[in-house]
Amino acid sequence: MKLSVSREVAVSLSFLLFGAGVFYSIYSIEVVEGVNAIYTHIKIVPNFVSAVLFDWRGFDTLGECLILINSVLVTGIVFGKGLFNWDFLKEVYGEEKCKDSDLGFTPIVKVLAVPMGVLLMALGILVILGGHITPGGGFQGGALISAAYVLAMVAFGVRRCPIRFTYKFLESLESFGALLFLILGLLGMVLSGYYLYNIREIWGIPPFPSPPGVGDVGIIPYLNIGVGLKVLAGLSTITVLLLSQRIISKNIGKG
Amino acid sequence: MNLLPLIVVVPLITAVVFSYIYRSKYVKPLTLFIGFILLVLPLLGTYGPYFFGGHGIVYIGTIPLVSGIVYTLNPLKETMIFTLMLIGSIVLVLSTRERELSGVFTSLVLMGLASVSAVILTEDLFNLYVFYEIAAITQAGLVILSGTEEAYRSAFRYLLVGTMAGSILLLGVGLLLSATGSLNIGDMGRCLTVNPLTPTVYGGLLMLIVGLAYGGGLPPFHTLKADLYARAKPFVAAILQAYSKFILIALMLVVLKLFGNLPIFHTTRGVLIALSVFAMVFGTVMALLQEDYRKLLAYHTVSQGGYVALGLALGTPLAILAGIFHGINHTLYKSALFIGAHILDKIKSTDMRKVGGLLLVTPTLAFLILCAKLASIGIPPFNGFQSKLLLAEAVMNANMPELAVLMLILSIGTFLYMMKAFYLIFLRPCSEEQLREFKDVKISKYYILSLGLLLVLCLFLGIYPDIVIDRLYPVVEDIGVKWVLESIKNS
Amino acid sequence: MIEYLFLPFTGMILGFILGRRITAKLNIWFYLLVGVVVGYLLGPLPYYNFPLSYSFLFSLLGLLLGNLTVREK
Repeated sequence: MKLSVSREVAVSLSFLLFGAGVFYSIYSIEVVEGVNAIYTHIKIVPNFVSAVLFDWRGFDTLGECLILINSVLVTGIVFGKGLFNWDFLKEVYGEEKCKDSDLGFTPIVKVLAVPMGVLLMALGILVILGGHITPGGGFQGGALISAAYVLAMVAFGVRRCPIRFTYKFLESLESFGALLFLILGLLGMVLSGYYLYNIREIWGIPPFPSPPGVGDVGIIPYLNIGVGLKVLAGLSTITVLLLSQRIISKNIGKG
Repeated sequence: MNLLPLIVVVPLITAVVFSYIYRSKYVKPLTLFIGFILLVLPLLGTYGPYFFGGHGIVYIGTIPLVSGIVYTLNPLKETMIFTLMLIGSIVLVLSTRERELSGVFTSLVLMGLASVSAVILTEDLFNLYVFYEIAAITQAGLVILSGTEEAYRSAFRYLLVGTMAGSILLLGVGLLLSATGSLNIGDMGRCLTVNPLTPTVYGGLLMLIVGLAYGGGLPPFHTLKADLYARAKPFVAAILQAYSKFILIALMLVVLKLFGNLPIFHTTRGVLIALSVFAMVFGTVMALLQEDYRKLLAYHTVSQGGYVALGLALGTPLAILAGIFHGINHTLYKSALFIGAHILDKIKSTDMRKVGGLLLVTPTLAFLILCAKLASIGIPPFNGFQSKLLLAEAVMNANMPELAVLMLILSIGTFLYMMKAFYLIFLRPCSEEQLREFKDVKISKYYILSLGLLLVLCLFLGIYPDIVIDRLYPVVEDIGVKWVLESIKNS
Repeated sequence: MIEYLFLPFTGMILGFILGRRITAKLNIWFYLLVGVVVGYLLGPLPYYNFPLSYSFLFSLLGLLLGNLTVREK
């Protein structure tokens, strides 16, 4: 008892000191413009954030995508994907009956879920594709589409969900999105020698035809699509894993 | 054409593919194939900077600033990546002997290899953070793969602390960005030396050190790492310790490059030396108490991480060289020890109370593990001796003889527990029927071969350490902190 | 012309892929009407000079077409 009290005092003291340090350093922040001057003065596409994300620092965005992919993969592993040994999971999930229950939402939710979902999906596609000219992009659009899926899933339950993103379909979408990003980078390397080079034109044809005045769109919309597919698949996969017990049962070889 | 990014990109592409085809029956041959491809990758790059997306140096006024992301390759990084890929390749080849191998394991190992090589190669702080995070998640995933309750527990604990430590590192990167206006480590270091230091920079440094301690397994996060190594399958622990060792080296080099020439480094150095000494002492003491061979090795890894960090924290060129060289050596012989533990796990169990008398069963294995143990203690002619000698020399040159004494005492501790483990596993008498039971287990030739390969490398580096040292020294001399040497000369 | 229609058609393809996964029976005329209203309220993407967001409408059309192909059971 005495030990735990002194430990708590020590923990709170260290948190206090660390927090004070963090707050002091943030309080006295003075932002130097530095390299940002370059980013804001050279126009690549109208959305400067998109230009930084996909052109100047495209490789970082690739890394962020891979964080998501990796997290989804590890979440899958937690639920029994490709383990070396399933004894523990069998112990935990072995006895329970696998059933997905409908929590019984009101008709308002059920009636609105499908139209809202459909419109959200269309909006998500628009946000993904307009990433280079409007605020938005792959991450936001993908999150919108997966929000539509989660809405339908929550309203109708897993079994009667009107939007059927199967696990396999989501896996393919995710891999396709990531591979699109990685291989477009390689394409840039083949054409110019630089990985993730923003290809302005191939034999005189721009890769993504756009109205005049937009700027050097290059491959940015395709990168956006790749990111969007991957985010949509990743978030939906995590939802499927958290909502449904069937995947665990399948993984541990039962049903 | 400079093919440097392929070192990172090829493992990433294959990782994505493997995570998609994880149930396919071709996973085993493909894993074997990729294992050999990995060995070619470090040779692809050419020395010098590589600008991603073709965004090179831009001048604002007269100040040159790097506008995009830069990777650089030099002999130091090449050596580190080669060691990493070698260990990765060996682990992938060994994994094909597992019955339950799935593409998920291969995918995670490749993801980790790619991210750690990116952390080593990158000259960009945010890029480093991104790949550091991938490596952290990968390590947790690799531990969960072994599927026991303890593995789940330790991996979740690691991830929970990891979210905190990762966010703190990101905040630190943000603070440093706001103070310098750039993310390129060279530009940032130059900006920091010119401008007066603000509390923001101090905050950034503090957070960078928190991230370093988490990624490299220094206190106060050492117990998490030790738990992680002990709970994973032993041959997976071999790659885990390689990851964290190289992340430790890379982040230490970043701290040195950013803050090495600032007056603040004097305090930083003290903090880092204290952290590493604590890791050394703690690891050795805890390893002495262990009954389980895996845990013993796990704590040994923590203590050796302390040695590596000590060398880098001292900041003199010789000490940095010794630290990095010890890191490379440690990765090699520790992988051998973990693979040995894996064989032990196959035979019976890694609990040292349950095995004994294995010398009669597998004399080759006993000999190889004895060699690896001698290397880890630091006995000539193995590589551990060379790097520890170098480290002791560096410590004496830096005017800190007390640390040399401590290292000596800790080496005796290491000798004690390593020999205790050897006695309990291989020499302790045991009953006839138990021996017969042990003899029934067939050990794959792959394991013995890979152990042999690693030990040949250890022996080779022990006899000709100059091959590595000569490659590293010119690079290290640039990074080394000038004022430390001057202050030693003056005193 | 292709400059103005490439983005909507890409959206249509994406919508088609997603629409094939919707099993509910969607009322086409209702969605088109709602789509026109929403598209008008959204406004067009910058540089795509048109009174309403036809990119949104095309994406929705793709979704509905995809849904049509899987409707028969």
